[in-house]
Amino acid sequence: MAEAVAFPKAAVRPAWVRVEGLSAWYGRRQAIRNINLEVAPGKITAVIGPSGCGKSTLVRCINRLHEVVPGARVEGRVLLNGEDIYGPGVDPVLVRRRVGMVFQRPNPFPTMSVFENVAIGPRLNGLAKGAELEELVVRSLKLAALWDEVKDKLNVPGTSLSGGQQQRLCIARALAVNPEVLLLDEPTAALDPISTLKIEDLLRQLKAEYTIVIVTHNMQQAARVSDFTAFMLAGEDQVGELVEFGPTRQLFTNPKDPRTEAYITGRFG
Amino acid sequence: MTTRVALEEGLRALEDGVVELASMVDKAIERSVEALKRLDQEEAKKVIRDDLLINKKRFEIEEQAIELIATQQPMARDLRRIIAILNIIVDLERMADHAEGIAKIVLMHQDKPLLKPLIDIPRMADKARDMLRRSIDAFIRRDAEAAYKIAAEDDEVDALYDQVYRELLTYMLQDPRTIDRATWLLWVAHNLERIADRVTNICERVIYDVTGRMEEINVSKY
Repeated sequence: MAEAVAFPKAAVRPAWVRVEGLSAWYGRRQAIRNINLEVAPGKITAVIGPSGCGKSTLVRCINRLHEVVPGARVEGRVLLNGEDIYGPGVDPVLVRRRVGMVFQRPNPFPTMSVFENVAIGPRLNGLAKGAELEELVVRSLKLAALWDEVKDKLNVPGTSLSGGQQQRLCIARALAVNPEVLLLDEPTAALDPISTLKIEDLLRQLKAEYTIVIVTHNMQQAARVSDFTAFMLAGEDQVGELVEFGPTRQLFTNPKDPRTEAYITGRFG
Repeated sequence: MTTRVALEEGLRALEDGVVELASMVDKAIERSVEALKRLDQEEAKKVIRDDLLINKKRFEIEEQAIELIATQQPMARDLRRIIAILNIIVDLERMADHAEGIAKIVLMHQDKPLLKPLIDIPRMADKARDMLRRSIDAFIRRDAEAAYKIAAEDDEVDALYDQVYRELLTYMLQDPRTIDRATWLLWVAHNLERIADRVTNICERVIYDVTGRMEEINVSKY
């Protein structure tokens, strides 16, 4: 038991994540079944598939966000650097600090300034204060490729930025607590093409230090940005399964499974 | 912040690949003609062996290009660039086959000496190689003007080929015993003439890359 309480051990960078036999339910309805997936450290892994295939559910299981939905439950294991995040005694709040999440719609805290949006995480977690905190905020904004655009307006409300800037602010906020893994659930679905490409370039820059999983509706995005791609599909019983997983290059030029081929060539259904 | 970093890097890698392949092909042409001058069988065998490396390089570039199309959705000038590259590498690879053809003619000579000292054949080779190098340079610089000019120079190679042909005919008419060796040299000249034609193809691709127009320029008389 002492082992479990010791979680988290020292962060390993870049981190690796292994999903083993993962199934998830919303009440009585099963959303995903028996997913096995190895997320490579320091790489970008994309999860693609049609609506309702369970890709968002899958990533929400990787930082224990799925269970906050009433009646939701999970079976199987998710290993973060070898430790099961569903192990006994593991604090889900700590898991979420180590595995950050960025959502589809930019959601800066509406009453807070640009600075406060980024500072709130490390402050609440007691990671830094004073000059150290300021430094951390600047570093996070720089990492999110937003610093040059906001350095003169750190005190304006986060919500006054453009959509693309707000999303990078959310990425800066996620990075400020120094996570090992970054999950992004359709992070550019609400953005214009140029803001989208900026986020994609940003992810490429971040991947050396942060293991990244991106859920996307847009398979061209998966092709552009990721090193590995997982294709999910709901079967006749509406339960999502992993159909194919492999290097993005291979999945998009020579997929193994005919269902993957049908999906990526737009001949689905 | 620049966007499309992955696409830009991919395009640069493809361009580097084209330059490297062209340099391998240029060397193959040079070495095949040098081997012919000295009837150096070992060197000729080496040219034939090294052709495998050229084929391999071509497939490597082709795979990279396919990957870039599949993953980066190139459009407009980026798409034209990749399509141009896919065509250029085929021409380069076929040029190397012509060099290999010359090397095989060296092997055919076995113990027989050259029919005559080589004069116009090395000139054809020099001209074709010069056109090749400049066409690749035009491709890298996206210089359509230069491409038109280089393609026009194919006429010079054709003229040299005419000259070689007429000269070899006189040998064959004078002494039918020279027909085999004269024919071999004619094949060499033909290989070089074809190499220059393929430079013209590369020039067409440069023009397509820059302007988006597909046109056949300077149709060779052969």
